[in-house]
Amino acid sequence: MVWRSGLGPILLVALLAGAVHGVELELPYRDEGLTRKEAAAHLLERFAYGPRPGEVDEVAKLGPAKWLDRQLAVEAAELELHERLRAFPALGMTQAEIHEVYVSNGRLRRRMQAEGVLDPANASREEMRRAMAEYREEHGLRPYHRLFNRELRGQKLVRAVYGENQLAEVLTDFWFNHFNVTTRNRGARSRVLTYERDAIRPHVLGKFRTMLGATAKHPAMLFYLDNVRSRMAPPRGNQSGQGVTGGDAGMAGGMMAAAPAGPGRKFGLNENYARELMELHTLGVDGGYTQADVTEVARVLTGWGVMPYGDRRERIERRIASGNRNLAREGEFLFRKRWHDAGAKVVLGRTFPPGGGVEEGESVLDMLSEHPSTARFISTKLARRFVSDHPPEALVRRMAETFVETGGDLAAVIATLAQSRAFWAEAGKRGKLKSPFELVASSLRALDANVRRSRPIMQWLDRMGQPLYGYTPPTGHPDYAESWMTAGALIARMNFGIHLATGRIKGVWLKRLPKRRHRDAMTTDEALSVYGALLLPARDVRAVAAEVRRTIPFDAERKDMQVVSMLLASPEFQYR
Amino acid sequence: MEWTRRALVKGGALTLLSLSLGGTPPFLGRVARAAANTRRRVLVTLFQRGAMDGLMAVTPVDDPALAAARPGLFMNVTDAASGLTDLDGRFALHPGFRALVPLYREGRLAVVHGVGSTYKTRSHFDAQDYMENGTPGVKGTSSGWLNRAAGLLRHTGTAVRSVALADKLPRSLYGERPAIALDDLSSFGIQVPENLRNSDKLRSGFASMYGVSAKRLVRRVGRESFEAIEVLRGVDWNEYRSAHGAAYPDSDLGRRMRQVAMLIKSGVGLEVAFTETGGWDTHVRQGTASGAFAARAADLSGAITAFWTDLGSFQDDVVLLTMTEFGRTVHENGSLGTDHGRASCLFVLGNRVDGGKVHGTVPDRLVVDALEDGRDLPVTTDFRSVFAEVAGRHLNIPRSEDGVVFPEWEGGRFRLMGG
Repeated sequence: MVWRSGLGPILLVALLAGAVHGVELELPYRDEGLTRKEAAAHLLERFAYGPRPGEVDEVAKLGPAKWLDRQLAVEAAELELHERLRAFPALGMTQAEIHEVYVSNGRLRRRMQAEGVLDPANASREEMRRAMAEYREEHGLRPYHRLFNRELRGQKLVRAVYGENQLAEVLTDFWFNHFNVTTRNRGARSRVLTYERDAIRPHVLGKFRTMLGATAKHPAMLFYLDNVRSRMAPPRGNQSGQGVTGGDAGMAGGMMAAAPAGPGRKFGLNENYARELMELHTLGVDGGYTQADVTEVARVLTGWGVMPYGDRRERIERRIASGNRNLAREGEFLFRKRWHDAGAKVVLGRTFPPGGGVEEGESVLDMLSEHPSTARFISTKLARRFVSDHPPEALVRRMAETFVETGGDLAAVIATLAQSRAFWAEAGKRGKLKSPFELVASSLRALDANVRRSRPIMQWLDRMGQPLYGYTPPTGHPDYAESWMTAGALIARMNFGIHLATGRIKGVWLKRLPKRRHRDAMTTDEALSVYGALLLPARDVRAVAAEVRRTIPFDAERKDMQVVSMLLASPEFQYR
Repeated sequence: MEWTRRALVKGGALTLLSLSLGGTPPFLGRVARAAANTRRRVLVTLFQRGAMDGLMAVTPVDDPALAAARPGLFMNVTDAASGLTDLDGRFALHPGFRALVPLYREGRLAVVHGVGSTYKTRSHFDAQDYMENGTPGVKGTSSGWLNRAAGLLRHTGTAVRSVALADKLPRSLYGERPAIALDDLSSFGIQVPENLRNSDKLRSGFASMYGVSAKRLVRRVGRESFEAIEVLRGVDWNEYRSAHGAAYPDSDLGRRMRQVAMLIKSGVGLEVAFTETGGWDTHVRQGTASGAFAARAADLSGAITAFWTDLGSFQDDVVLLTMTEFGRTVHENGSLGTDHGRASCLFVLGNRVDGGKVHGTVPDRLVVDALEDGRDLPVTTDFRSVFAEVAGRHLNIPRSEDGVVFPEWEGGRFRLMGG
């Protein structure tokens, strides 16, 4: 039996529900003239963050199809990962717990002021600092920035380097970028960790609709794209037309108008999320919707908001418990019927009668998930990520067919991609430029790094142009080589390679390239043979090797470090 | 004699490289020629991150409403101990900026007050991003306004036309045109540890790997990178001495501004410079004549005046523009600080600037009804109208191209630059 796009949805559901064993994927790498080993290397470059020492041979021995099969089922046994993830306690907390524990200085100050244990106006900075540190200690509070600077970013690096379920990891990166949010947004900041953990990661090989719904209802997205401030537009009065905006909600019009103060009138309709939902998350910019649809979807989504914290949270919980039907809660998601526009709406030609509620939004998400433009748009982006910047049209079409036939089953879409000749034809071209994160992760994996601190690595990612979780436009990073390859970023890439190879990145220790070693431990040729196999396995490295030999004189010290510097900085290693 | 690149070009660097490669890569010859003592107009931008309190920087002197709103922060110009400098009878300059007074009196320094974004957000990051991508309210714009402006210059630029003195490239310089970020001119480039001894050979080995790559993109960007490196390595930055007794503050900003001056005077082709300074987010104990704000102000004004002095005869080529993402609340908060507000002020310095004036519109009385949302200095001047004027007039970008620098903007330029 073979996974093909032609399989019916029911059969595929059965396959994915655990019947994957014994199902042989047909990977046509031989048709493209690749050996088993070359196929294994290609899989590890595209569906993983690059090979670790010996891994190409392991995958070749296991069989490329079997390896991919296990990856699609996310059932590779984790070895080191869980132990390493213990350094990030927030991963085990609910959003509410995170809010309790990770407290910013500002919030702490206000809290201490309210409790009468601190008077900022009459305390020196030093006294304040000390009092706040003691208070943190006493109450088990952690600094706010640690949540995203250390834990959120650190866990991503650790998973990429040490996780065994690499395909799921790579896809989490892809889908996070697709449904981008950022810690640079104040409302989203403390919620990005649970966003990735709960709304993205569990669904990357499941149904598209499930992930779409999870992102739509997650506070990080609701804040980031301003749906939390989108309410039923105020009575239209003498104004007419669509998109009546109040106060600061508008994108294009009425921006200078002061927002009338007072509850209930603070916000108007905000189209930000509605627009990106169609343009970036589902249909694509040419997917066949109009500005009127944007406004209508925004009206459908009025009232989609977030459970507040503190006293207001308790009030809402009490109201819900006492049977208030205007509020509906789902975890941190809160639907407020009183903020919902109860009028009739027309979305993509479908009419919603007056008096609807939260279910209207669900229906719109269904419609968008099932729309052929979505199947195409998602397939194009997946093919761009895993095949080439400009993927062949026929491949995209086959993937989109699978998407439609399986009701948006993302594992099936990946299986279609992996079984295409187009995917394997890329192996020889090595045409996808690594993102800075892919460069870092693949370097650390190839050299068997022990990463004890992630902050220094994060600084390198900043310099190379990919501050983790710090990309502000909702488009996510463009997935084209040109967008990463700029002069400054390229110099940073080369310097990263040199710093890593020469042991100058703090907190990172390379097991395969010890800092302490005799300065003449290796000749250039020995180093080329050892490290060429680690960094560029199953590849023709003759051109690079020639440059390396020409550059490193026979009497140079630490030729191993110099060879690795050059290999890491080589154009070849920038590509996967 | 003025320090110029000609005097200090290191003949050695290029020779060494060409020897190790067995011939000079063709681009280096061109670079060496292109970089030879190019004298260009330069726009220097300086971002004050964290939102400067414009009402403390350039404070209305006779506004009882402001005095009442800021019992712990208001400074009275009639009180000699305040250290304020009366600028025009209506506004006074905070003592931290005192070093700027001579430039203001000479008519080279202008203040524009009430500047901000038409899109209301009080999030630092959002507001900074909008100011840098130049499209308030539109998050999806991936390039920055300075990169787009650099793209409109009609002559050929060198590899170091656009430079950020910062640890990473700012959004303002994102885009298609080459732009680099650097912290330190003398260490810019391929950072090979000197203890490896053959560091120069390694550097040229890198250049050569990229020169022979089969991928066009790699070759092109590699060339741009190594051009920038070679241009900058062609100058002995360590020999640089500030001119005319310029004394830069011993701070990140001081070092960065000094390097901007070095780049300008070396004639390597700098045309758009960006640098930044933080610490303006004064929620707590902002201070008055001394304290947190005053210290930031002294650093900023010290760096700017030293830079200007150091430029000497290059002043005619240069305009400096400061910016900050928004201003701060008119009322002080419970911690003797101020919170996120709307409009702030900015400085423009240059010999052709209509200086010695406080431009812009600030309500006569900052009573609640005159404030934006009842709390903030209202935005009366769109930052784009100032940026378009300064960049456009100084870099000779025609008005008709303002829509390229600031897409979807239909406002006009704010008159600020003389003939």
